[in-house]
Amino acid sequence: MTDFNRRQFAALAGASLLLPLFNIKASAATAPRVVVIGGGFGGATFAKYMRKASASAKITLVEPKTTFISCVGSNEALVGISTLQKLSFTYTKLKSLYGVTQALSPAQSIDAVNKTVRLASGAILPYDRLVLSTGIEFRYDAIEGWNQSTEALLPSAWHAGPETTKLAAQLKALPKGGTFIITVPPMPYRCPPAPYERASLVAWYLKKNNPTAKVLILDANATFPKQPLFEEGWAKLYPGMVSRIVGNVTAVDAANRSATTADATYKGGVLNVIPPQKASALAVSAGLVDATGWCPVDVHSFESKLVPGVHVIGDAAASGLPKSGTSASGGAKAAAEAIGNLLTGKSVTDPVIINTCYSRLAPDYGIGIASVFGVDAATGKIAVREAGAGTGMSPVGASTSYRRKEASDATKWFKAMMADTFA
Amino acid sequence: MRPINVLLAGLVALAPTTAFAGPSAKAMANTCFICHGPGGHESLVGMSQKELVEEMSEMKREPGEGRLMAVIAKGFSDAEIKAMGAYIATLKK
Repeated sequence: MTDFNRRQFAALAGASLLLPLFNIKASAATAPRVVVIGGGFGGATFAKYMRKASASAKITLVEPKTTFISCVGSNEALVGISTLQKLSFTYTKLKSLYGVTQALSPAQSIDAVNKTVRLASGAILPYDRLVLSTGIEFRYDAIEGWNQSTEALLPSAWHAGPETTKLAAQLKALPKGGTFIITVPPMPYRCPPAPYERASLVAWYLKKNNPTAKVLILDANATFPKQPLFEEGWAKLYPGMVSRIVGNVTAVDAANRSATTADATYKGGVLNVIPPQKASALAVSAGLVDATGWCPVDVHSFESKLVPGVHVIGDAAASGLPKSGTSASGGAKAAAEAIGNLLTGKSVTDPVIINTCYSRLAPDYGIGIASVFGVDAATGKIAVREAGAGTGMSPVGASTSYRRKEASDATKWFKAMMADTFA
Repeated sequence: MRPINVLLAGLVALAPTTAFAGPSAKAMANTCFICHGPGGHESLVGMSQKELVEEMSEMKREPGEGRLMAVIAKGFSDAEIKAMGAYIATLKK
């Protein structure tokens, strides 16, 4: 690094006293420009691993928030096992250790022809490669009676933060013997096992504080991930408390806290609507979204099949991966390696992505699932590797001590994942 | 890096030009850090190739107390585990 570049870097890094891990060669004229929009698991992991893939790239993370609150762990915060503070992380180390510049103004539009991103501030960011990691948005038109004006009464808490606190207050205020209803949208949605983990932990809270209360899941899907493990846990830990009815909720009455499926109307003391989801409006306006509501991508590089030069990772992408934090992280690493190769004229290799997900049914009762994904040579699609051998979940019927070990695994998984993303 | 690329090149059969090369050792190793790192499962930094190959092979064949790691180990071929181990052995703290 020249003195000039060292000063420039210090300015970028917010005059941090920490030394960068990488000898970043910030030659302004020739360095490739990589812009990533969205600072969740996908975007933050991408920014860090892009630096590992390229010492010279100028990496800009467009993220208006300075603090990220993890959805992973937020069901624990909902019932008081964890706190939002413990789920909060900053981008400080991405800036100081990996030379990532954060643009704090939200992205407003993408011009894929001229390869620029316009921010709300009016600033224009030119890019050689753009990565969109904007996660999910809600479909406010999917459930009659659930929209921006009734959302305040019926917080989804599907983005961790103030809504988690609001839903926690509703849980606390649930009348004695009342019903906490959770509505599950049709797949795909963010974090497929999370509604069932939420049902479990709400039951854990109610068993202590409101033992005659019930949890009712109204589920748009016939089956769900880790189903035998959840059902075994509910029977063991919360007998008679958790029930599930398959039925797509098409209408709600916010004032009455009732939800209607094709078969019946169910009234609760708390109605937690997890709404149907889609890719962000920014992705739509950039032409990245197809009729499914998500962004089709090449499974090797995560480059959009619709807009060249723009890659989509995380929940917004229709890649064949589950919409989970660890998949977003794995896809981000694969995209970073692919972009590193593309920027230097090398060919893109096969990605490998591990999805690991733990759910807690009680503080000391964990269950898990893992899959190792790659590209199937015959179909060209994302599939479990080694002829389907690389997937599985915790055994049904395991001992109490096994579940306790998996709860401990879940804690380690959370800590390592946050360090991998933000440190 | 170079020895690993050579090693990997040896793993991939000569294929038509449109085929993609298998994942790089670095890409495979990067997947580990979601669970292996500060506060998480044991750090892999400082591990020799031999140690990693032994641990992963045991997980694959005699899972014992491996829990989810036993599942993950089955997602990699023996040759890939060797390549991953060679790469991880080059990592410094």
